Amino acid sequence: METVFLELVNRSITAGWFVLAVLLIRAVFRNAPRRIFCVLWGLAALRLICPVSWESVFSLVPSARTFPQEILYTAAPRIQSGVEPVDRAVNPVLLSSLAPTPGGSVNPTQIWSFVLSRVWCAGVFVLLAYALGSYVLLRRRVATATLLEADIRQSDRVRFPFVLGILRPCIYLPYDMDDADRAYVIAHERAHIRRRDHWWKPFGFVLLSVCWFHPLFWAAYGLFCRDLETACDERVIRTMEREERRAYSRALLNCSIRGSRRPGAVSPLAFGEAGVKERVRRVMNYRKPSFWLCLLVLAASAAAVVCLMTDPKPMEAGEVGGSRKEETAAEPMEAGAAGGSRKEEAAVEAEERLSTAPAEGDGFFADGQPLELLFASGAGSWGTRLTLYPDGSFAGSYEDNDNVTGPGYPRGTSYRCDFTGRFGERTPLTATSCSMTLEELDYEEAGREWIQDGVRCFTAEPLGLVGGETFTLYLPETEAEQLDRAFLEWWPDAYRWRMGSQEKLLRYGLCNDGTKQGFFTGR
Amino acid sequence: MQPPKVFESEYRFCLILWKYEPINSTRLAQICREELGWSRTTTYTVIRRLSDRGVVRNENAIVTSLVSKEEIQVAQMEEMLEKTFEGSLPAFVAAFARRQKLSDDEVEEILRIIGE
Repeated sequence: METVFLELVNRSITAGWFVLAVLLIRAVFRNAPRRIFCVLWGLAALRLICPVSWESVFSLVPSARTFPQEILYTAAPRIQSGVEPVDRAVNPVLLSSLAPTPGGSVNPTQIWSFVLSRVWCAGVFVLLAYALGSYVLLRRRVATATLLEADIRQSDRVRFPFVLGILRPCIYLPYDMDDADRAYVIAHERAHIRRRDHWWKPFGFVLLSVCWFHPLFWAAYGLFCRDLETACDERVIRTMEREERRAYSRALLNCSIRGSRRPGAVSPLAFGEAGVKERVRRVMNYRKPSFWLCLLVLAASAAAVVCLMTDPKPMEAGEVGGSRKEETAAEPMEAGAAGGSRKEEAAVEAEERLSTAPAEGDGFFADGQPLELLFASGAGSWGTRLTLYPDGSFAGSYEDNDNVTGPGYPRGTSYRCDFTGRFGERTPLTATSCSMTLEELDYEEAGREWIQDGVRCFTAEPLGLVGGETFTLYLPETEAEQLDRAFLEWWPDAYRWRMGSQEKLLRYGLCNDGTKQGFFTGR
Repeated sequence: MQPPKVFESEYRFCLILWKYEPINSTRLAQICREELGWSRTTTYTVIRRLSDRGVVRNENAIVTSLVSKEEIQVAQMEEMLEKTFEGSLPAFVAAFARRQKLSDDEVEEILRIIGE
């Protein structure tokens, strides 16, 4: 579940950028036909749920993957928000508070992701339960509604007209309504049905329930629903003259004030939709939207789609900052300072990006999976296991046992070391090997002694990792002939090579350049 | 004793009852389905509710009315809504429509916008 949750968080962050753009467009082009905005909201929903994403050089999205999947189990958690100041501020905090302690068995990020993903799941459940519950209650409330026409019912328990039902949508009206008002209300609700709003609204709510943690989506949903209403208003009054629009507005007003037929004498208990004034104003001031306005809005929307519905191209190996610069070369038409400052940002990024982590697509971790390496002699009961992650971080343990016994420890002696650490950037040496520097190695100080279950235990140093500053990583395709003989002594397939039946390593190999000790993966 | 009040939907039910009474409850449910669009359970629930209030009588599956058309009073909408859980429509129907009191001033202003 943690991976699903993480994926969702990443997707909602990227979709959130597009939502932001839609909000901007809405604010700037207030008089544009609302139908366009409804389409834009639909695109935002698509961005969220579509598993396929296009990459383009025009993408303004800072990062397609703010929380890399490996943050769940890496020894060095960090985010890639794509926004340099954010990364700079957040990553040190993450590292200091979430890096696993040497000797600890559980990665703190694992605890956090477990807790957070369960909280998210509970939230989804609560929201969906609320939706379902209120739907059922509403259905029961209008059970005694009487038929007016085939798809219209009246109920004495309905105050504001609405549409209910997904497969067979039905309009529900209150009983006491002027005939004139009723005709307009029915026209408005029928417009909803024609536009399939009785599908889009619940669908949008489901999406909201799934992404409830992102505050932007709440605003998006509220505005989306408001846009649906206004779009239906526009559709109904499109062909109306001013006088008729007056009648429609009166119907809007009357519907909002329940309890009084004569708007002049409003009872103090009148309730109304807060948006009524805005809707009436739009209806009365309605003008056919100008060609140029529509064109502008469409252009801005197209720019938003191209720039924010696409993902940024992933960085090439070795070109750590280079491709970022390319992306911002094409400036979008979008209103606002978004284009200008982006260029600056990327240039700064390229210079300052002394990336301490190797680019992920450099071929040494083809499928993004960590490597499980072992340094051991074939016969002995000792060994150092090491899990190396694509970002250079690693964790592992060294263990050795012997039969030295004594008072209090009849079952022997054991040595153990649990460690974590990080290799720096990988620099290619040949086509099948690269060199890396050991930048961090953390383990409990050696020499601590204690007795446990009749065994005397010592903390020890991680054999294989000490005594060397640089390490060389070899791909399975490496020719054994090229390699240091001392290193090959640790290679499990060495005898086959000596007999001439194997030429290549066929395993990943990690060589401690200082001691020539070697770690290897399974075949 | 004051004649019992019925709600508008129940009044329409009574209209049917007065037309066809005395009538078997199953047959009544059938007619209500055609004319009112009610499900069978809804009709039975209404019959039970009205008989509790002394408006109809349901004996041996035969339904008759206890109050005549002249005597009956239909409750007004406002009274009705005060009692029921009015207002809150679920979010995916009304979507955070903020319900707040429309002050007299605001209504005046809206009327002005309309009147212009």
